[in-house]
Amino acid sequence: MKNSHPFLFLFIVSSCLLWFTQCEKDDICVEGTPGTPRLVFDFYDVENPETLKDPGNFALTAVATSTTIELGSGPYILPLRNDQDFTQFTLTLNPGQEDENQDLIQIQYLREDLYINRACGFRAVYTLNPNALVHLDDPEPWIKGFYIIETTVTDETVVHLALLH
Amino acid sequence: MKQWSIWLCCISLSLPMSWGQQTQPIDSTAQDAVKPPAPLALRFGVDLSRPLRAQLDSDFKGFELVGDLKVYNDLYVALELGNETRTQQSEQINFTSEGSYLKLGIDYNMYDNWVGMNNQVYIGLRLGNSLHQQTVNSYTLYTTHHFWPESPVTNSNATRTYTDLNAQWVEVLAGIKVQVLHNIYLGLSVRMHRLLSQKQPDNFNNLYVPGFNKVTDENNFGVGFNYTLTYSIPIRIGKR
Repeated sequence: MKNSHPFLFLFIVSSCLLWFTQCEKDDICVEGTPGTPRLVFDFYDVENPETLKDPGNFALTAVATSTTIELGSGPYILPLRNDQDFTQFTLTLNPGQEDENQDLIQIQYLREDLYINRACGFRAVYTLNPNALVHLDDPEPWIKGFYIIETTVTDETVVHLALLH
Repeated sequence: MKQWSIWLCCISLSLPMSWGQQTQPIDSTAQDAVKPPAPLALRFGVDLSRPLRAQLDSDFKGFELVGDLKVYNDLYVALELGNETRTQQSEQINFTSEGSYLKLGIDYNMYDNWVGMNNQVYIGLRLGNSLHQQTVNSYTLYTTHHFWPESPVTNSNATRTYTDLNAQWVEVLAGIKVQVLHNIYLGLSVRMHRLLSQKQPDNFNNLYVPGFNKVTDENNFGVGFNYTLTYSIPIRIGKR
């Protein structure tokens, strides 16, 4: 090895090192990695809390942005705010009709952030308050009550909250 | 700084003394007998790249002390001792790593010097150990729905300092040291690290380990380099 082009040797070694530092897999957050979950809720019959009851025509609006959330059929999905421990929505029954009834509700929860990996960073999970849903100044709400099915919101595969009407 | 230097000297000296004596009988070949007695050469100095980088990059502070001691023909005991504080923005997370490290190992010189010269083209091996802490300053939550405006999270259960972390690794390196003035050398080395073990924080990972540099999820390898300025003191211990 002595005197046999040591600088060539160095060059090869450093090139190898450079090659090693090229694009790394964990610079990219792999699609499909579970992210921050949303709250899943559905409507149940107030007379018979175990039975699903479709409210029919209703609209769901996020208060802070006045964005109407697209609704399919239940269960329904609510994105929760991460800058505070509550999120406000209006649930409007029969919007635009004579018997329109608008409920302003507040979902209350605690947030905890869990580490995923370098590329994705952290995601949030939520723990619903025992008092998860409050009405704000409504003398005649059409949502009569609620109960919590799943206290911790870690994914969107189960229904977390039942609204009674 | 002075304490570090004294400590450095003590370690470099105490380790190879007994070693050098053991190897003496093997050393007495006919070829060596012709050469003048080779002094044990202690060389110590600092890494120049880290202070330079600290000047250019306000998110980086660091220094590294280096030393090596010739214990046998082409064999050196070498060590690096450093401290780094670095704040960086990864893909989602802004975090600060802070801590000290010690690397100890050997260098093998492959360059045939003229008599009395001590230049090196070498390869080496190190064991590295760090004691560090990491602080999560802020991050963007990973969401797939993007309904609400997303602002960086600066106050949560995860934005805190994770203390008492450590990591152990092995390095292979290649480098050169060239005498530029009497007894003063400039050196450059490139290194490849492989992580052996580490103590990870709960709910976070070691993303940057002082001395090891970037830690990735997918593999255990890391890279590094240093650019050193060293001063050599020839010491003679007995006649070889």
